[in-house]
Amino acid sequence: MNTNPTVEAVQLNETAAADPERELVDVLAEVYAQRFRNKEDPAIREYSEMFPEQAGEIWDAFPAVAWLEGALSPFGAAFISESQATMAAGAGDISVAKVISPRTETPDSIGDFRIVREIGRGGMGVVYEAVQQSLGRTVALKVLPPSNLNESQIGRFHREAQSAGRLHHTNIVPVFGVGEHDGMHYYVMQCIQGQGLDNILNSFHEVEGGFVSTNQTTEGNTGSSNTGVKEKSKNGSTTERTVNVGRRRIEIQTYETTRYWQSVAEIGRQVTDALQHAHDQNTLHRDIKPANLLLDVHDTVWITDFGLAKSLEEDAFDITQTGEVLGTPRYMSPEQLRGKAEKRSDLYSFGLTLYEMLSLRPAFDAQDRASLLNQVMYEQPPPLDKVNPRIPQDLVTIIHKAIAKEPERRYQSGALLRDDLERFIEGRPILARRTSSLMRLWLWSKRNPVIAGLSAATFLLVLLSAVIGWKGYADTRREKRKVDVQLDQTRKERGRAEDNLNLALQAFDEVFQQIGGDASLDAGGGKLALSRDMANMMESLLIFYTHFIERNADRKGLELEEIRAHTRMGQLYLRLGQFPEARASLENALILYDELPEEKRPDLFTRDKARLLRRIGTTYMTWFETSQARDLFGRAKLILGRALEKDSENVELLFEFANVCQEFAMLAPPKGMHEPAPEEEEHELPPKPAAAGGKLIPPFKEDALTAQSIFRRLIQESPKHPEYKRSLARSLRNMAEPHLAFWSTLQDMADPVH
Amino acid sequence: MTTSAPEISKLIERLRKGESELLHDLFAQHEERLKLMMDARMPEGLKSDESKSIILEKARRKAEESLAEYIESPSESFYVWLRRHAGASVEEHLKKHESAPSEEAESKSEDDTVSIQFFLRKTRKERLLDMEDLEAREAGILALRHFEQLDNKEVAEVLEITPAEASRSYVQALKKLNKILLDKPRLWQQS
Repeated sequence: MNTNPTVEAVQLNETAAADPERELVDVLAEVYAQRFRNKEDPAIREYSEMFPEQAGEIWDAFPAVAWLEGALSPFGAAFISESQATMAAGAGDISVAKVISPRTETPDSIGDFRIVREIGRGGMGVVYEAVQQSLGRTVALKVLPPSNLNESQIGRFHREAQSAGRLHHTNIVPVFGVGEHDGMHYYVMQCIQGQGLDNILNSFHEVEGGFVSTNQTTEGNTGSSNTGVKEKSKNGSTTERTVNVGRRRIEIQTYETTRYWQSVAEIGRQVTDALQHAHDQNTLHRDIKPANLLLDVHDTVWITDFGLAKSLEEDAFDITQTGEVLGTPRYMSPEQLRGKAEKRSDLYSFGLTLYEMLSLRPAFDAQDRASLLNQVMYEQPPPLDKVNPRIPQDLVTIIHKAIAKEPERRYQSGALLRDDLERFIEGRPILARRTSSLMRLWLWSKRNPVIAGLSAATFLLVLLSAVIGWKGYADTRREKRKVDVQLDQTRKERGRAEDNLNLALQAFDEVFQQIGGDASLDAGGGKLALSRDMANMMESLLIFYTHFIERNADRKGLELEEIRAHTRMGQLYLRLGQFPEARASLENALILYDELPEEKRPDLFTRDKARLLRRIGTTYMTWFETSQARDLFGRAKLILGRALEKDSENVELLFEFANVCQEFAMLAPPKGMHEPAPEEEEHELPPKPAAAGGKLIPPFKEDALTAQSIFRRLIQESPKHPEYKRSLARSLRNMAEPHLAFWSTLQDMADPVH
Repeated sequence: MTTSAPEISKLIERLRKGESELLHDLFAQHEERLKLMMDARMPEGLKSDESKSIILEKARRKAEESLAEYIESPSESFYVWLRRHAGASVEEHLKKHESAPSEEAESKSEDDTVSIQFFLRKTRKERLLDMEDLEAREAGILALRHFEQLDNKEVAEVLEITPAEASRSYVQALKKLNKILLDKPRLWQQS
């Protein structure tokens, strides 16, 4: 198109606005159709890019327009059919060849090659296992179907062979040559004994019962891997792997073992090394996905099917300029969907493959194309550690860096990704850093066309309104008047807004943690100074949480978030010295907590409830209303004690129990009472240490000593846990310096615990 | 391709003042789209240039006859009106020449429905066979928009629905066709 896309988008928007009765997609389709009539060759993605919000609808309708205008290129059609078929099949990949051309009879021989059997159908052809008779060797033969071939397809086939032939790497399937026989074009590859990673993943799904619908598209005997691979029988194929020199063993039979994570990283190391090699030759793969990675019996991973590889040097003929997007969208990078594939796109696609290997689910799992495209363009896959907390954190960090939406935030080369994977394998610290949720939110906002381009200064404000006013946001969408489509659309938007809401909450929690973190550092010095910045920050957090509660009260599914918001407010008020407000917030949280239905209660329900009781107790303590405080601490101890009877080794419960004891110890005893409170029947706890021979004997010394012995035990069990040490230190100091106890307690309150 | 609406109303204004020879000009303005209409509605075998000009001539005569009536109270846009007359001529012509008219053509009087059936069966046989999922009305709306190149407003007039409804149905029909084509990939291949 020679017009400036932005200008055109504006014009189209104006056209649409002038005719409000019509659907926007209708208006766009008319323009799109008109261009065919003007003998142009418009690409769908021009429109989906100009109107990203309608991208899904556009992709759902425009191919039909092209067909009606009799002008769709077969490859474009194949892409659509393929993605659709892939969608229907869940994780599976249906080959384009199946779609483009009806299955042809398997020939007996092609030239010098005697065909043994068909082993796969791929991007643009059928793969046979064959014997090259003159040399007596077994090869894989990739043959283009004899019909329906146009110049550009043949051209692409040869370029593919050429670029693949230039690559010499232990992890790239070698291409021996290229030829033509009776109008049939083919190329010859080494035949690899092994299987595609897609097959391996599928077998996991079969075992797991699958979160992804099982692949039903695999027809006949082709298998779903469209590769030059000779498949071994599914059973027993993994047992005979042996160590290969210079390569680590790959054992991926058992999920969730250390060996498994290491093996996935090893696969990653080999593939990224090969990608680096290809990229050094200016060759892109463009279609990295599980089906194009073969694992052989010698623990070697092979990249195959550089079928869409296109030499970077050949700028003159850019397939994607005229055709539609090539390849499987599930593993495609956002920039590739926009037609701008580069080296980092391959790394991204491979990152998604590793993601799937680690989590056994595709990063993007939408079942229909529109949602999938939307996911690829705008959504983050669920964090790996959320999907499975057992995946090693470093690996999680590496993969999420590899699959960042923005190419500049990814690993900039295969070598860098390979090096980090190697560091992980060898147990050295990796270079990649985790992205904070605040950063993720910021990145999200930049992707979001509505708020992209705002300065950082207004960001927080927008953030607040985006979160608080998310309902309004959904209402003002221009889809409003469209009944049918709108329902669907609104649902999607809502989903997005809610995702976002969670992200915002996370971000604010992170800010909160930082404030709390500082406070607890201060606690060490016994100071209570609050900087103006800090106070301001806390005020705005309070505003955020207040609005959040106002807006979202009674909303289903957000109860826990609401409780957390109340709790946070309580902690903030405490920190600001506003005790009545603090108490009100904490009590609200407690009420809501008690109202939680059984199935919604978190695992640490008792711990959290006890903690709330303790905190509320503290608000009384600061005003020396010790009887209320004692009552609350007593309740906390009681429920903790009961829970500990059932689960005496629960570290969280023990820790909270010790904390409550510690608070209890700070209370002055009720008048005329020298015995412990009645609730305080003791439970099986670690042996009490011999009485500390100090001069100062606090009233409830017993409690303090209990607390300390628990802290000691916890420290012994996990020496690295700073919280335990800090608590012990605080307890010891409070015993020694009762006049500091008040401040210490207060600071403890502001400590984040979630 | 077509003259803009204001120009047409100017022409109609002049027609009203008695410049009846202007009908010829008006007709010429729309000839191209009328031909598209015939393409869409006539089976391959009958689509000769000769038969087309016969039909066009008939349509012009018919239009002339009822022109006065139209000018008196134009209840639809000029092309929709013209197309209706031309459509009737096409039907007559087909009846005369179709040795065995299809049952559907007999039973259904809505011209567009019938035409799309003809169109699909006779010109894109293979695709039609797999297109049973597409309702006649949906096929009709797609044919009007694409084969006959009517705009949304004209479609609304032809089908006597509101433009909003026409637009919505059109987008829905597109999506449905898209789905059908995706399910039956062979249809993508050009015949």
